[in-house]
Amino acid sequence: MSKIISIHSFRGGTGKSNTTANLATLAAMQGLRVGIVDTDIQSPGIHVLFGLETDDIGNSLNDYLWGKCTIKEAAHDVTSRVSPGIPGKIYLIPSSIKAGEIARVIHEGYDAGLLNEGFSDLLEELKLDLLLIDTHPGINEETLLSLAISDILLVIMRPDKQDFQGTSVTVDVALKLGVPSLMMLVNKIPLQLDLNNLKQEIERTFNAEVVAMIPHCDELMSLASEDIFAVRYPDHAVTAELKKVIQKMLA
Amino acid sequence: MPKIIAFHSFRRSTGKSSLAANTAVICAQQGMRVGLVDLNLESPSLAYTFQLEGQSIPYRINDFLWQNCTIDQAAYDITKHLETIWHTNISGRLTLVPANTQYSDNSHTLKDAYDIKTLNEGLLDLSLAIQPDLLILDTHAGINDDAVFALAVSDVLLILLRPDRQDYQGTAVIVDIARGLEVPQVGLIVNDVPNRFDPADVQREVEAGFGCNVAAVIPFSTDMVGMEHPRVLALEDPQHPIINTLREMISPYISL
Repeated sequence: MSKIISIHSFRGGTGKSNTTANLATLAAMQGLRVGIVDTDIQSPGIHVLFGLETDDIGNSLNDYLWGKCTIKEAAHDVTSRVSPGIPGKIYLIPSSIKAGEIARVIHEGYDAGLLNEGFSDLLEELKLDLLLIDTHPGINEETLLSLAISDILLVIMRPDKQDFQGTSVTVDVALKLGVPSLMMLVNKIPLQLDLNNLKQEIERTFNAEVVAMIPHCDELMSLASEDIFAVRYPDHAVTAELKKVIQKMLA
Repeated sequence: MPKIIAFHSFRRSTGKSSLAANTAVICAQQGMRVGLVDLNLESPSLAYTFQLEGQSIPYRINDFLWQNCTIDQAAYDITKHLETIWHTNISGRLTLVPANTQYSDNSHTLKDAYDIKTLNEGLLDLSLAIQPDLLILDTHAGINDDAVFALAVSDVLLILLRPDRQDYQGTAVIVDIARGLEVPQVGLIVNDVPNRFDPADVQREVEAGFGCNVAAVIPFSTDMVGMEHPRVLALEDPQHPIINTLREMISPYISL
């Protein structure tokens, strides 16, 4: 059965795109067919992790939202760019990186209902097992709609006070929308913090399951988005932690 | 009009607010009258950074944009407050125009787009009211109306990026927009540079890549991270290497 998973954080810079790209890769390595939609229209970035340069992007999500193409025509098969010999598939629907196109969508807005239709078209036409939605941070209409149709919401936060406050807003909204499954991933944890205490505190605060605790990682930062971390460092503790997230999602 | 310096970045979480806050403090410590405006309505943080919760802040820039107050009603001279909390002396003056951190109100502001002319008049009125030597604008990341406005009115645009490919593409777009808008001075700040990278290499690579001056290269550090609040190093530890770098960086832009 296919699943739609929204990956969200209230504040920016929590590592959504990196986490999304790695989860997609790990799932495809297990033979799954995975789609990713970059709905972070204001500052798209996930395409870079899959090695897509500006000129490699044909149709984008923007084109679909303007009725210029079907969503399938905006899907880029990036599987072989990640690593040769991956048994599954990774399709990316990127957002445009062109200033004028970004400005137009921001200015004119778009039909969020169309976006949701696009999600179900993708699941069906590309026979996806998982569809990951890399959302724009904060709570806005588009985010609400993608949360509302998600089977799983993965909320990413850093352990600081501003993220705590904002995340509680996201969690409240998710509960009201009746998202079937809520999972928390704590990222960029300063190395001096005690992981067990922190995990308990977050589970108590949000009454949701913490599926991964990921400390600040020098290797990940130094990789500078040149490559997918899980491919470059298959045996790293961070990769192992992300594999657990996939297991939970598929369970 | 005073000199206007805008801090912007394509991606989020590059350290804009933190560097804008510290730069404002550095300039005030040098005797300047500084206005600091939080234009990051989607994710404001400056009131929080300067520990103003619990203080009386009846109006914010959101209220001004909704025409519920004048801009000077939303401007707070926080110099004394900073001197008290951080046990320090500031020879100049720092006036903050905070944005709303009430999350529910934010969506209101963002959804019902306000008139950008209001913002422009606001900056003019603010300049008349507080007579600053310098206005520093903290923007929302990415390409959006507020940010393009901030770019268009700035004399100096400081664009933050991390040495990461996800930042590079978008930064090139911002640099293009800045050129199109003919921003008089543009500098790049490369932030969160992993310690294993050579700063000189990073500077060379970024300058060559963007054909644009690199104003500063700042190594990754957790020194700005605090458990309760972000640490304002310019107040807490004015001789910290990052603060010295910022002080050197800003000096050519603020000299008359």
